[in-house]
Amino acid sequence: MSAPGYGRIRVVAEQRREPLVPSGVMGMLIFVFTEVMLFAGLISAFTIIRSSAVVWPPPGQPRLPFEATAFNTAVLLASGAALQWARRRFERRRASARTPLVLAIALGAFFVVVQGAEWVAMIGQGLTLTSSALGGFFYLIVGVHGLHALAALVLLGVTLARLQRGWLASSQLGTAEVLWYFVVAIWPVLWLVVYR
Amino acid sequence: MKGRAAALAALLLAGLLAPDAAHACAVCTGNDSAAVSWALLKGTALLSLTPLAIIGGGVWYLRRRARQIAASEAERAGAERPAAPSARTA
Repeated sequence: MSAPGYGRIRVVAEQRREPLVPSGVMGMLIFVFTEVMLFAGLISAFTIIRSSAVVWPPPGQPRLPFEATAFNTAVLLASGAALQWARRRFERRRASARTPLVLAIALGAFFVVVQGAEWVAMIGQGLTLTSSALGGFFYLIVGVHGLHALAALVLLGVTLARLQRGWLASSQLGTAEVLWYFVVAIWPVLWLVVYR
Repeated sequence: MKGRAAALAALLLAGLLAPDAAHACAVCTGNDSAAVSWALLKGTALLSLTPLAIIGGGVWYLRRRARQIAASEAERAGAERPAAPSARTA
């Protein structure tokens, strides 16, 4: 093919290849990787401190509510399942993902509120950040997880707002999913290590 | 320089020949209990294996995804290509 004045022009059909992983999801995966290592370090330090203690919990400190938190753990796992349900419905018909997404956010918010109530109860029983190694690690590990849960809930809220306006792309839902699944998946590990 | 290298070699040799005397860990805090040693071992395993597992999982997922995309692109290209003329129509 030639055009006057331009010599030979080769027409190249440009094809956009589907990315292996969307940029947002990849960024969130890298962030989650660093956070997994943060929690691994905290768990490791907690395990060593706990093993070197003669008595656990330390004298004068309350026992952490392992059984009561089991219900809250189940609520958080249910929230993860609701988000998975939202993804399936999103693949079929985008607008139908609204109900399970709202359910996932509601269950996640319930988890955070119950955790907050538990903190208040623990402070009332004398467990503070400086009262013992248990208190220090409890508020550090559970607090860092709570911060992640709050951030993920904000992201899920933004995702819901986008869905309602019809702007939500699959990759944006995927980005929020990665963070929320991380929050959901790391919690049972923390619960078993810290509360038991 | 030569003297320092020789001293370093002697130190390493002493560590190899007298492992009991050289047995000291900066993070063991002098605690010899089995529970602490076990906890240190678990912590070391966790911190060493977690990044390897994540990187391995990531590579596995990317390879799987690349194969899926290649398969779907090949399928799409096959569907778009016009059928070869048969002997009757040629």
